[in-house]
Amino acid sequence: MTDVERLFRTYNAALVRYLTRRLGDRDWAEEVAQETFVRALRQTSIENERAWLFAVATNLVRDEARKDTRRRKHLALLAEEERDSFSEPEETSIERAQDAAMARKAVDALAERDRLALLMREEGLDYGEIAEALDLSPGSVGTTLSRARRRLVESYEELQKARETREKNAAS
Amino acid sequence: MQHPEEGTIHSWLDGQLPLTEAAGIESHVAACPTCAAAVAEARGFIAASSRILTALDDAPRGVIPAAAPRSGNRRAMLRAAAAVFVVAAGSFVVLGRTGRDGSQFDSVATKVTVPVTENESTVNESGVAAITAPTVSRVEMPPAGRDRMSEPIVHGGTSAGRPSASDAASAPPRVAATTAAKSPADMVAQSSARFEQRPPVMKRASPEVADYSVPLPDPAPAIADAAPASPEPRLAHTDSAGGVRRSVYEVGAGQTVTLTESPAESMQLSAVVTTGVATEPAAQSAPRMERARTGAASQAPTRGSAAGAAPAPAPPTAAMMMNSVSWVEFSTRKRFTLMGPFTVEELRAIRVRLDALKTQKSKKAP
Repeated sequence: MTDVERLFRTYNAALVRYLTRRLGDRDWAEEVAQETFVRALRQTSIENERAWLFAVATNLVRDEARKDTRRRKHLALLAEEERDSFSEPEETSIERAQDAAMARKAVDALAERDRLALLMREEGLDYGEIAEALDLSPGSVGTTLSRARRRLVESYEELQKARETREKNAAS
Repeated sequence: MQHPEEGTIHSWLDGQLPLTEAAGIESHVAACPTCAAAVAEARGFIAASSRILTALDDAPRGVIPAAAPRSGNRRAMLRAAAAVFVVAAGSFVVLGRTGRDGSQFDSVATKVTVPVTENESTVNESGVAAITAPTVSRVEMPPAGRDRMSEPIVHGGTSAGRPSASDAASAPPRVAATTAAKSPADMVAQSSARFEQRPPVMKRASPEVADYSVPLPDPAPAIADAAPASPEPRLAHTDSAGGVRRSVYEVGAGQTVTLTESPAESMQLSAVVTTGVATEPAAQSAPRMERARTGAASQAPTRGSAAGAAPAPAPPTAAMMMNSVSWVEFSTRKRFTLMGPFTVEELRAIRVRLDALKTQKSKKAP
């Protein structure tokens, strides 16, 4: 097994999940993950693989978001077509879609650094790795995470309340 | 001891504090109701945020579906066809795949030579060309040879031996495969001669749909599947024309991949997608891919059916034979597409291996 295969096996799933949560598009996430592994190939040595991969993936997203809107539009178009071709039981589908939309909103409301730290932590990165990937001081990671979690949950709950109110009004 | 800050509590709950500090917090929390409440709250936040984030994992995925569309789902098939068309336009053809059921066919690669922007006319004048797309229609051959030439790719070569496509409906796939290895395949191209490094006889892809229609839960098996024998793709052939560079790799015993790279600027994706979806021939050609996958020639619609008969529904077990992944290299902005009889995951794994190869070479080169 080559080194890149080992990297791929070990980290691809977590990296793709992290990127999917960050980007909201699985396809795009996989592309960025691929590119990240390609970058890893060009490195002679990587000290902390996981921190390095997450940092590079994060930077790729940042760079790409700046310059490549056309490709994203194309992906969004194709993703939409793909979505159409799936049919799930309607209730589940609607409920899940609503949950996902609220989660997306709540996550998007976080400050970028808080969001990234939280998503990385969810993929099992330790505080040292998060600090390295995001260029933070290790001592500030706990504070960053506690703030991110609190805000995420609070804004999600607000959205939930708003939805319940809407539904109540619609019913009466 | 002072009440620990919220951040410290999270660090502690995350198991990220040094042992001595953690012990201090533990004893404090045990004795301090305020902090015990803060810890309980923090636990709640940690659990809730994990749960909220899980909802994001259902994000849509895109380009080429790895799984087989549902039986009779013509619309999905049409889209898949259009999508394959799009990526194929960019770059890559893979032909030939080793399977396990012992049947045989010969496959033929053709060449991408014409800029992608010409695709629209191709779609309109030839439905078959639409699905095998630019890859096929680009071959430098007289127009009369076009449709025939397109078949080996779409069908994995099984139909190439037929005088007309409508005969295929009754021909047992096995027979067709045998003839394919000889006659029209020869005419089909100069390009087949380029594959002499490949074993002349290849097994058909296995009909075990599970391999293809179920998304792999983990990327690891994809690598294992894609590279059972040879850890490194081997460059079998390369050429370039019209600014498009094409390389053929062997990625395992009897499995070949063709990589074409073209300038990203030549792609007009949205135009191509629209044309592909809107054009009827694309729908007609879609089932041909299923046939390639299953070898069930009798189940697939023929060219004769294009005159009016509705296409037969896809067999429930049919899966897409051709998948593709495409990407733009960040540094050069060149567009690459990898297409072949693999799952999307497998193709991604192959891409990584190709990149590994490239990197190794460039390290040796200087």
